[in-house]
Amino acid sequence: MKAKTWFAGALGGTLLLLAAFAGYIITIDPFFHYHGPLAALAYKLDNSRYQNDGIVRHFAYDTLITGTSMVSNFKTSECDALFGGTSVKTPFHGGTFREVNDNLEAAIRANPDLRTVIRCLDQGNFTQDKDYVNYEGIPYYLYDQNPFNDTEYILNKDVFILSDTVLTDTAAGGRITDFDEYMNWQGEYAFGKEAVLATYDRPAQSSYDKGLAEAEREQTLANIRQNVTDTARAHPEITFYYYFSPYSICYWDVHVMRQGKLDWYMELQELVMEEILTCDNIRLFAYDDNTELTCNLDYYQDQMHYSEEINSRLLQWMHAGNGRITKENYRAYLRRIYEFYGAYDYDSIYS
Amino acid sequence: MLFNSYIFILFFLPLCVAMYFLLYYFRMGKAARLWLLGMSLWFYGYFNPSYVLIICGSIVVNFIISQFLLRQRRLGRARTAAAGMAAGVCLNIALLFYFKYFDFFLENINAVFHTDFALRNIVLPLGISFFTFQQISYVVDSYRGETAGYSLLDYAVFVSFFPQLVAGPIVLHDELIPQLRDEERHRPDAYCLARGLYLFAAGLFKKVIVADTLGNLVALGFGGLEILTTVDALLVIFAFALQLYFDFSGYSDMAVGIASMFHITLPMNFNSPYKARSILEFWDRWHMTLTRFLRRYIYFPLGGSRKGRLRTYGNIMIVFLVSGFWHGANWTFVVWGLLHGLAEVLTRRFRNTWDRIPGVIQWFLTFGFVSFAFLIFRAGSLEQAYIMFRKVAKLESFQITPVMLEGLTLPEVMHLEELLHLDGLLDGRYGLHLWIFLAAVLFAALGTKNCQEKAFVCNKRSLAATVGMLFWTIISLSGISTFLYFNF
Repeated sequence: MKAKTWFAGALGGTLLLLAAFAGYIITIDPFFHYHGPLAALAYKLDNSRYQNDGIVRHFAYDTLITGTSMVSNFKTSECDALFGGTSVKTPFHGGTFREVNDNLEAAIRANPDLRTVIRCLDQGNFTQDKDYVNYEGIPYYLYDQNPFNDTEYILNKDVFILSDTVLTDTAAGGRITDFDEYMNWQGEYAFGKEAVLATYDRPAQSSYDKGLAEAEREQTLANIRQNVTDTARAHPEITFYYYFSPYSICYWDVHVMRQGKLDWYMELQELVMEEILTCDNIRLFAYDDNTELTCNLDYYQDQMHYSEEINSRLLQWMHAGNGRITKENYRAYLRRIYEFYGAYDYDSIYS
Repeated sequence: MLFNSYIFILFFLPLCVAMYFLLYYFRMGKAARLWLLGMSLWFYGYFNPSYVLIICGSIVVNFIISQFLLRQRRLGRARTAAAGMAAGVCLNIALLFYFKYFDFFLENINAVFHTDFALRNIVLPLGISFFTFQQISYVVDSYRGETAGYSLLDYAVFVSFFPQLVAGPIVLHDELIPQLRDEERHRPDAYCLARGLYLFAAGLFKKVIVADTLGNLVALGFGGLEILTTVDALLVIFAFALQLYFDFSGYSDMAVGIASMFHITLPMNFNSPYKARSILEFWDRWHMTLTRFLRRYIYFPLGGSRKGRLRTYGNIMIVFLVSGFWHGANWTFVVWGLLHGLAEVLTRRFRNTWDRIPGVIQWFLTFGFVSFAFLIFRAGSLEQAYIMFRKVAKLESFQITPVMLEGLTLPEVMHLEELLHLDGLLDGRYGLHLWIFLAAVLFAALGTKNCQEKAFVCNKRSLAATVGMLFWTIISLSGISTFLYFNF
């Protein structure tokens, strides 16, 4: 064989195979990068960092439930029944304010029909740097508008295998994962006092006589402004239902009281509430004063993660306006929780 | 930039080769060389543009030194030239020392003298060990008067030529610059393009499919050091020896292949080293251009083997000490180098006895020694290496941990088995993936001619192999990450 023919054949053959491979992935598109789900195909929704961007850009919805693992157990069917319309859910396990808000911004850019956003604001993430992201290896090539780095997606054997799985699952009579199930972790963990206490060792008592430092205050405000209030303020047509994650009494013990940081924590809550309450289109909710919830460990899997029953109740409460924080009532709310958690007998948790 | 990346394969390489020859076609020779220089610097600075300043500074300074040395030689000032050469070599070593060894030096000072010098956390510029040695050889050869007539552009293209820039081979000026100047080589050659593509595909396959998969098993082993069984530890040790070979030789094959596309021949760097039957032979086959450098610029100037047996052994130990340090700033590399030096000395000392040992046993002992020594090379510390050795020596358990059995399982193979309903037969219980993979890799390393030994022939078989390897590796460059959420 002539070297010229060989060389042309090798290049042409490789390019042809790559084009066919890429074409197959683009057609099935298991991460919905180019289009929404093809009718009747059994897509498996189980990889939020790869699929959430495609979901917000290509699915039909007017309500978005977003946040961290705190929102994974929401059922969109319940949301739709309460709020009307059609909702999708985009949880980021271990996500940060920046990561969640980037996805929310992508949703707003892509979907002019978006009217309602339901989002959990993890209290443990308030003081993070505004650009902090928890993980390396996040597939930003799916999130950006650069078509050249799409090679990471369309020439990716793992994605090819997923695409194949979509077809084999369809042939086996499967169906697309619905948003009630998507990223739902309820069935994977045990709940109750024994389960919660098994997840940590109670730390020794520390003292912390300082309030919120100026640097912490600035960092928190930058985080909340960039990733919460700026977005809301820029989109008055959307109503944002934001709630503070209701952590269990064990969280209060380990992260607040045992650290000697009750005053610090209250200052932090006050700061965040005051900033968020400047946005008229954010309906802010908080449930730390619902002590029947926070002190009942049967609802918890660890110090922070509550069961799907609580997710269902949160939807009902927010829809009914229960637990709403306003400019008028936030100081009374903070006083209530300060008095309750400051006086609680934490040793009783362990007896 | 990495050879094993989409941007390099699909954009940088085709553009660079095509434009290079196009400029020569339009008789714009200087522009072609400037193009090659510019692309090489882009390649080098892709991840960290500040690296470009370091390499450019190093090139200019070394070129000035070489011009100074040539001038002193012409003027008959031998002592000034010798002093200049020594200063030039020291300058290069100082640069390498600062970037590669300064923190290591401070750590040891702190440990010995209980001081508290703050580490600088200096980011090591890519390939600095390679281009520093290359430039030392150039300075020494300038002192010897062997580099006259090169321009700064010639020199800059020689040092920065991207195929060999970050992982060798360590090319000498008289190998590369005359080829870059040769007008016959300024036209694309179909055979060289074809051979280059074949070598590139083979190297890429070695790196992405073979070495990186072996790397998964090795990472599993080092990640769970305490729970390894004896057989697990042995598996990890041999898997790393194979990983290192396929990784490094794969990179060298890619370098030779890319250079071939430019109608440039680079020297061979690996010649099936695991076929060696002695440490002497191993070093004639492993990283051959480093061995050549050490021999030519350290061993011979020290007197080589001409000054008696003891001095020879001393020289060998010095060379291997330098080799150990060159590989990395950690005592593990120093110990690794000294062990190889010792093995080389012992083999020379007892050569007659060694030669009487049957070939199979010679091979077994050599491969075993090299593999165990590479364990020290891989370990993060001597303590870690000791733990692994102890696992082997204790002969505690001959079970293989289940997770290790699946350490060499490729997702595409699993998927194919599922489609063919073979997953019940070949699943992890039997470890068949592991054994088949290891057997195939060992056969490739020991039972076949290497890519550069075999004369490349343009036929349907080599065409299909090239297309297959390129396709398989390109679709394996990316994957899907797992994000572990530890709060659960």
